[in-house]
Amino acid sequence: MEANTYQEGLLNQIAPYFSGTAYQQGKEVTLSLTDFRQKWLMLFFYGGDFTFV
Amino acid sequence: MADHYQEFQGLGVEVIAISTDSIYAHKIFAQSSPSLSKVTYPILSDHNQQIAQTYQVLNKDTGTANRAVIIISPEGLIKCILQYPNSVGRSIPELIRVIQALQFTQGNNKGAPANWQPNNEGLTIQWETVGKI
Repeated sequence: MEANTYQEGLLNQIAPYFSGTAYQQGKEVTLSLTDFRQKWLMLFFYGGDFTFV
Repeated sequence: MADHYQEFQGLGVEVIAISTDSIYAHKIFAQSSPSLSKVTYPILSDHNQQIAQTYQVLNKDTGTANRAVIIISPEGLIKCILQYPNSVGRSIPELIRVIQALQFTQGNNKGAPANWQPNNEGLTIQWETVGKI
């Protein structure tokens, strides 16, 4: 029974909070999800630098 | 992607690129080619894989993120999740179409049916249209 634990999908759920450091135009910046409140936001996950995106 | 960023900005969409690389790798990566040096959106370092795991796009065998797109609405809701196999790249026109369709359907009672494009009227979602889509 425990193997059948149902994992709820993320669609239409509140986007989980995240924060971290990013490279942006030559600088190191700190950003978090709350910086993008009231905006459409697209997260572009990719496997690794120097691979095709 | 860098070449299409302006199109997304035109739709009022912010972009964050994310991988599990360190920010130092991001720096070298971004500065390594002329096309990448055009990138103005942030490249986030998810070095501890926490974000990829939380968003359920982590490949646990490799510790890297799958190629994935998550679209978040201004209300902070996840409105679209796309994940691709390793060997297949994304479709920017499809991403733009999804954003336009989400923005079109937001705030009205309409749906954007299969192959919806911006010049389509959309479908009014009501009892009479059930089964006719």
